[in-house]
Amino acid sequence: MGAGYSSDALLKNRAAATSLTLRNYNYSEYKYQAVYGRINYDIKSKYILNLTFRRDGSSRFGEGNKFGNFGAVGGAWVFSDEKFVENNLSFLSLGKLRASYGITGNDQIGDYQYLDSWSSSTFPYGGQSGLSPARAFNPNFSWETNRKLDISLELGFLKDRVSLITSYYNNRSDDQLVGQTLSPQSGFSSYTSNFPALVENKGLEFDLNTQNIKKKNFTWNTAFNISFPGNKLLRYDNLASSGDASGYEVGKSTRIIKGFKFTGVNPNTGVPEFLDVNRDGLINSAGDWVVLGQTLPKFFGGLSNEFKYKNLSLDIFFQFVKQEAPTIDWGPLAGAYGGMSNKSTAVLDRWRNPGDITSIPRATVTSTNAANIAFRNFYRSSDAVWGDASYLRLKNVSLRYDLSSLTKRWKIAASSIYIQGQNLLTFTKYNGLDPEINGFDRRFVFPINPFGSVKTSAMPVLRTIAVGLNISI
Amino acid sequence: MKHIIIYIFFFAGFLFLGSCKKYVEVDPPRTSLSDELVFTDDKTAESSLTGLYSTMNSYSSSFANTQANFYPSMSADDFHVATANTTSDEFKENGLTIGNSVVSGLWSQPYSLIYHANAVIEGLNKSTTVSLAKSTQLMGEAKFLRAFFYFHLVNYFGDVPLITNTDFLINTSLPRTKADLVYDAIIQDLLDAQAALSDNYPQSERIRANKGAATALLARVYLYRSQWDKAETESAKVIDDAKYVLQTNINNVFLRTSTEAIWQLQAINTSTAGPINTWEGYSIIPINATTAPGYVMYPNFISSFESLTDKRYLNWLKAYTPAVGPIVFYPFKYKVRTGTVTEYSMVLRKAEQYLIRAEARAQLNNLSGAKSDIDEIRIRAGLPILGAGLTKDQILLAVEKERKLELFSEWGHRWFDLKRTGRVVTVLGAFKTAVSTDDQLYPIPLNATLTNNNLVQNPGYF
Repeated sequence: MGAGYSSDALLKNRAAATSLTLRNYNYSEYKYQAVYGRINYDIKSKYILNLTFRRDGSSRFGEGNKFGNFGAVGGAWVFSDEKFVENNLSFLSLGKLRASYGITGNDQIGDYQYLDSWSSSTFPYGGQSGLSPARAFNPNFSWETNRKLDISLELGFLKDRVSLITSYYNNRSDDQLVGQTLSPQSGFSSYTSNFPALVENKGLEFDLNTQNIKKKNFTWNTAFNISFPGNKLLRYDNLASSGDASGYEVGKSTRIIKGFKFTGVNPNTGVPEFLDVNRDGLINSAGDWVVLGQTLPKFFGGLSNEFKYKNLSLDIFFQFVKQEAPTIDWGPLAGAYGGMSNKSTAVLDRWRNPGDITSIPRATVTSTNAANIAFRNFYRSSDAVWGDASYLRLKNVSLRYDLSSLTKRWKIAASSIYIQGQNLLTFTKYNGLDPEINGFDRRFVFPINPFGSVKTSAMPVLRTIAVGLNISI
Repeated sequence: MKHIIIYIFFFAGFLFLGSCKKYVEVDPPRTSLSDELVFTDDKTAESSLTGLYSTMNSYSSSFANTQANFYPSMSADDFHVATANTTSDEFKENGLTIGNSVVSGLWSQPYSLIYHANAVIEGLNKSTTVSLAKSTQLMGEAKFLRAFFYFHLVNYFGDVPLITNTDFLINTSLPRTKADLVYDAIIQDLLDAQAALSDNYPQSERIRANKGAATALLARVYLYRSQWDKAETESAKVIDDAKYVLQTNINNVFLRTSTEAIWQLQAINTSTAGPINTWEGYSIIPINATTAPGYVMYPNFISSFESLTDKRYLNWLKAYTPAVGPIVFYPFKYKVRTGTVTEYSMVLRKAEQYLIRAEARAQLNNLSGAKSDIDEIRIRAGLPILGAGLTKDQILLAVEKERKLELFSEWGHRWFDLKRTGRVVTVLGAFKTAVSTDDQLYPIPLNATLTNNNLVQNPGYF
């Protein structure tokens, strides 16, 4: 970077700068090579068969690991074209069954990860440039392979006025290229490696489109979709002795969150209490954590309705998610009840007198009070602050009047006026800032570090109302 | 069958793929060097070590600047963050939790630096082309730094995993090593460093370790291990070294030209936040005279001055009068927030060596020798010398007090002193509500215990 030029006109001439600072220098080289073969077999557009094969090479892998073989087989059957269907199920306008199974590869990691290298320090020390170890180096990793199974059924009824697409997918990978967790005492937090675990991602998706009313001046279309995602850790070699021992459980989702099990506020003292899972008389993270839930939604989807009367059209879109999430008091930055910081109105239900039955601990200003200690050590990382974050949200409403017929005479191709609102209504029982962003910094929610920080400066989802005039010439 | 259409695409290249390997070969990256290349010549080998110093002090909130200098001071009775802050209040109230982000940094950053030091040591050991003189010097510095990092780890956490190589797959699951053995390793590294390093600094300023730095740290370690005679011997070597002279003007102690300095960290990242000098000064000194300081001294620190003519009270603290409430003081050893670089971060300085020798001599019942060392510090501070006829216990308390007033806000000295003399509960309990013996060790951070099942948590933490 140059500075102190005598004229703006000289900006491109670095020799004209009175001072030059080297800010950064980045260089990397990446080479990729693939050969590809495909067989496409199609009979009367009724029976379709696809076969592909490819061999890929990538410079991101070390010697002997650069190449991978991948391929896929897929087939489709348009059974609505079969005579027996046409004769017997005449309401069926389209019936198509598709299935595919394939193996795909992935080299989406940084360059040179397999090299043991030193990179230059940002700042010289004592006038000498410095070098630092660039990474925990592992030369032995190779292509990530994903085995993907997809099955889908497309149905159209009543001349395609109703269409339904049902899909199922099941993806498995046992060599994912991820940062393998290291304990910080090793000097690094992770190293690049093929994950020694079999992870399954599967899901069921429905997509329904209907034309409810189709008149000359009035149409009403509805679209509805819903997805049920699933994720499971099927196998993990030597999990107990790995850095992930606390983060994962075989047979459970890879997106589980662990913490203490809240058993209630002691009615006599107001101190929150927790389950001693291993019954050793102590509550601690080593022995008493349970799975609180997972960050993967149970299901999610949307419902959209589109009405059109002459030049006036109205779109209404609802979004819904069934999920769990950390709530407002989650994480190490959450202050105990009684501190000099804002709290949610839940504070009004706190324990005040012996005999009070409540799930909100007592307030206290002294950090040495048992309630304060329990809050900081257990409560803010327990299921007391983990909860339902499902919501139904009126995401978008748009009302538009098409003026094209009026403005045609001025040679304007299309014009319209509209009013549009986003995030107008939300129905949720979530105890937090916003169920869509969880009022919580998602970066910190991953299994190995269930303690996250509360988003103190989070931008909530904005309610926006826009009025506009659209003119296309 | 006339409707059957078959497409077949085959690239002949398939068959030749074996010979196309070179298309996915890349040249080594231009921004980094492979392990073998680093340790082929003196220049790059030296860079591998200057990189370690550079990493230590590149950015604010690092172990080797504000974290090690500020947070243990809050655990003790030096200074604390002025306003409510969940993370630092846990230090102030001696109520740390395992998720505390600074504790996590105090654990993982030294280990990251230790990896770097181990990589330098291994690289030098394997190298046949780096000159013997250079190799010896760099090895000495790397071992000195490794000892310095372990010294802090063992004083924060007690038993810590002792990692002396770069085999991260093994090291990641090592259990904690007994503190005694960690200390043995520290002493061995320092003895090696002392033998390897020259009296001269590798560069014109005192920003890298020489023999004096290794000796000074060794004296401190012997003191902590109650090896009084060795502590006295080693500190005497530094005190008798003509290179090191107490600054008579107390305002010059923390300058980059300070003759009292044994080891300083150079200001290197001077551009990120304006021309900063030290991250400590940049963090503590308010941006202007009307801004309230972010860090304030504990009130009882101020009351422990026996005289308000103490030059340390007058020059190393600065008062701020808020609109409401009492006057507060903040550390003012570093006097530059931003500006031309006149100050470096002090790591080791001669005044500490006098106090090490005073304590060692007192323990060895050389009370007059101890008194004369304490008096060196008192005279420089503008105080009268100690009265005659003090008992051993009185001398030891006098050392403790001078250490408190002299070394506050530097590298957690006060916290470590209270710990090693077993006086955490007695001293801090007098004004903090619930300090227990368990609080003397920081908790092993959650991200360490979660990723290594062999780490057993310290008592009193959950």
